[in-house]
Amino acid sequence: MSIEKMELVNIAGLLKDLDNVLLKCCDSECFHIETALHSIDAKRGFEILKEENPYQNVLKKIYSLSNLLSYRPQKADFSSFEPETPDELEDYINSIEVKFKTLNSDIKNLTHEMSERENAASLLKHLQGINVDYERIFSLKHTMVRFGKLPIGNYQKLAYYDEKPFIFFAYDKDKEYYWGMYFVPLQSREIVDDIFESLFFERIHVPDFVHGTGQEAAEENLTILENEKQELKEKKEELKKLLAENKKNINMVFSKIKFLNDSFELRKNASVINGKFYITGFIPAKSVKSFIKLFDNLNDVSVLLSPPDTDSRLEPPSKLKNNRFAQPFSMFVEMYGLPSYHGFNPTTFVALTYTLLFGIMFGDLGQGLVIALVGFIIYKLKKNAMGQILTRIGISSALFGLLYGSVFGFEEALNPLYKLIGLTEKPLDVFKSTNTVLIGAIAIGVCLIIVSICLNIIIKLKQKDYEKALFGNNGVAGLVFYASVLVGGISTIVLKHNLFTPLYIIFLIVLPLLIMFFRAPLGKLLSRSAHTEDGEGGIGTFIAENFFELFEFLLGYVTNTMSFLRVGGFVLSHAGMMLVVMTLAEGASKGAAPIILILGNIFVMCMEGMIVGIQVLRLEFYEIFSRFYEGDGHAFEPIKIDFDAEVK
Amino acid sequence: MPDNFSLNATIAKARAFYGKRLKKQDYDELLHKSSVSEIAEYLKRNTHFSEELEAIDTNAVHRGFLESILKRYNFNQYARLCKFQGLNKYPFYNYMLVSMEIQMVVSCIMHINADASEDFIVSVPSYLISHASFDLLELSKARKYDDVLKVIKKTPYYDVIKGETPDTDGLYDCTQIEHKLRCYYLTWLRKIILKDFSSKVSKEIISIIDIQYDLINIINGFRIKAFSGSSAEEIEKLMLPVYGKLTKAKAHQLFEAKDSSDYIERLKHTFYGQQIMHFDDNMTQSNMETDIHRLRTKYAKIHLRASDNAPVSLYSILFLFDVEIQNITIIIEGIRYKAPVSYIEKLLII
Repeated sequence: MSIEKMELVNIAGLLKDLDNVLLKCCDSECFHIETALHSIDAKRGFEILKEENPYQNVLKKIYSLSNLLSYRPQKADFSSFEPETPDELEDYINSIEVKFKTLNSDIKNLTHEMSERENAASLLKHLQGINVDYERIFSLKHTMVRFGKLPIGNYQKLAYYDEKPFIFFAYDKDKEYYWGMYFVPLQSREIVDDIFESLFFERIHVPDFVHGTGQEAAEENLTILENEKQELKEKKEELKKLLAENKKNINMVFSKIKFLNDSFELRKNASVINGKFYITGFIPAKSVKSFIKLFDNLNDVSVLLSPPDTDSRLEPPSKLKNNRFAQPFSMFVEMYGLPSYHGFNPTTFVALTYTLLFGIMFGDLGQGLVIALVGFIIYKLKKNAMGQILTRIGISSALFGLLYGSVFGFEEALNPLYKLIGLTEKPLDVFKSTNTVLIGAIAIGVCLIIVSICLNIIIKLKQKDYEKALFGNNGVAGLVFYASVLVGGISTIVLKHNLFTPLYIIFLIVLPLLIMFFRAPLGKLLSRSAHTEDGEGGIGTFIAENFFELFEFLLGYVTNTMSFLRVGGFVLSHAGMMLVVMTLAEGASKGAAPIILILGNIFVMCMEGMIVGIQVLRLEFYEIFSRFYEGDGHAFEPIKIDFDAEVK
Repeated sequence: MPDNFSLNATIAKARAFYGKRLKKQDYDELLHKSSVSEIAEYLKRNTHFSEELEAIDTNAVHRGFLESILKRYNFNQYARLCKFQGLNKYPFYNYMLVSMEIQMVVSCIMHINADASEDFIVSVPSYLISHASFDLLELSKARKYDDVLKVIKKTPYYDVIKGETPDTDGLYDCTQIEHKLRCYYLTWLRKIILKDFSSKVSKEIISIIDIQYDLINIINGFRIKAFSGSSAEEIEKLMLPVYGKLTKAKAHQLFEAKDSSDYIERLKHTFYGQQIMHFDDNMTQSNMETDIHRLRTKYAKIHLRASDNAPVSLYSILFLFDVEIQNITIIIEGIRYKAPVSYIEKLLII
């Protein structure tokens, strides 16, 4: 339950060795580089390397080629690949492009022609009613014809133009338009064209390749279109084959270019002075020996190691170190935010509490085992952390299912087992022990809150933040107050022994409240720092602000505690949902009952499982983390070349 | 009339429509388009106009047709809202139709005056033809004033303008005709509101109408002062008979301004001027009208959000629909004429 120890590394050398050094850092897979901006000392003459990457254009070119071929290049071994300079690489890409040029051109032309025919098909579909040969229409000498579509709303305005010399024939109608044509004498075409333009008539040009009557033209067009589709398909197959033959070369050139491009980009992380470079970064302490060994053969390069806090400008990155059980749960911690390098790694705590709470809220032996199995399969197939989480919480759910006596909703299935071990009935009947469940949920919440506050005290003491450790609402004062109220309340109400004596109230309730109220000045007093004006307004503002903050703390105690009621609520709701499934199955016919049971269980596992998972995460983040955890660290990210192509 | 509680459904519907309106991000996107086709495509793919534009070929759509489709959409929204709870049976809810009919009559007369009566048909919205209380197609065939009167004979507009006579050039005073019809409209509207609604609802709707028309009067007063330098009395004759938060005395003071700059200065001391200063403390002659429209929009939004009366919600949302269409039209025109984005942006009312 800790954070990987780091070492601060400073690498210096001659500029000529920079690329080599960066490549070795990438190969090490353990070097987290700090950008030169963070560590540069401009006053002493250090500068950042500002160079234009010569490989960018050629990288764009290979992406462009890949897009053209609709192929996503993969990482390949390029050790035997000779072209090195940008020009050589570009020439190589051009040589590949040439092979595909003709085929691509054919496909492009075919696609364009098909697009025209499809547009024509759309038009001809609307004009199928024309029983006259198009060529006869177009060959009229004294009359012009215009094909197109007229908005339906403006069609009614045509009546206004009764006296104008045109005839409009509508052959089809859709949601917005009348499709048709109008005939106009040659000498009147300008006036009539203006009229139709004012009515937003959209003229559509009938392509030259349209022949015959409306129906014939439509059919011929469709036939040719089908033929072209077939031809396009064949061309694409040919392209695919050609691609398969050249795939290896494309992958090699892509890998080399990506490698050269990305490693060149890394140069921006170096600062330079007088022909020498300086790189700063962090490596895990356990990798120090192997890292140093990488530079053995570089005589002009020196690697200097120092403690991670040596440079106050740099915050060491955080790499979580977890045990096998907790490792998958680091996903949740990362979701919230990584701890700082000197912070606390809560992953194991999350793993335990998450598993526990999920098991409580989703207790069913059969469903738990199914979830565990599903998680196992997911992990095996996809190597996904979620799969591992499901396995753990599934088992927890199964164990609590043993407690509740529930197996796929059958509440009596485990009775023989209980009798065998000497119990007369199941350990916890959820419906008969509703109060126990709810009170138990609160009790769990109280324990978790107290544990969280204790963790916060320990963490803050280590960080020497005495204000928060001792005087804050999550410090000793808050703990005393919270515990006193709870103990006093339980003692008074349950045990009928009134602990709320004046002394009790003054020293264990009022005093902690006052301490919390004055936590800021008390903290400053303890750390012997000078009082600084944090805000404006003086005493009045201080009192007003802290009064409302105190109110917020008190409210927070109540709401956070009550929030754990949902744990009990979900226990009941899970049992209730399974009861519904059982009732439906009992009411159904014999054949349908098993199907209802299976589907019902699947539905509950999926839906309620997801809801419970989210609710537990909410409890973790809001009720627990807010007490002690600050995810203000940044991740340890070793530099590497990413061969994932950005082809879309 | 359904009771107030039931009419909450119309209020909710109006607010739901408001939620679908174009946001600032949409306007930013539209401002950076370079053609009418791109604008049409954006509206089709990303806004509440998508269903309306579904059958449109955005590559070939005419600018005017696009604008007419958007206006038609608004009109249909209005019809939907009125039909939703059978409100279209009540005269008040036909106010938009009455207003549009008056616009058509005035437009027709203006075309006749300009000897361009044949072009009037182009400006007739096709969606209005079947809803109008008179035959718009017949109106578009009118070539003289008497033809117009013949078409509108069975409507209340006839009595309002039948007595108008042409000047020595044979032209009719369109300003006067429009003024008379608008005054008729406002009188009719007030009467209908008082008749159809309870006193509480009437008071609220009349007050927002008064505010809107106060602001229209301010704009009209400014234009008259700027372009003809008329006296306060002459301006008052052309003002609509509405006094909301701009009392008669205050309006008179405003219209007494020496010139347009003085008008602006006096405006700053009125209630509305003070309201404008909250969001634009640099009101000038060039941006005054835009500021007034912004204020009108602001009031409409407040009334839509805050009122629990259906007529108020309806009135406000329909105003906001119009503003949205105006904004889109401004952008389309701006892009057509290659105006700078910053210039177009200043004209938008968001």
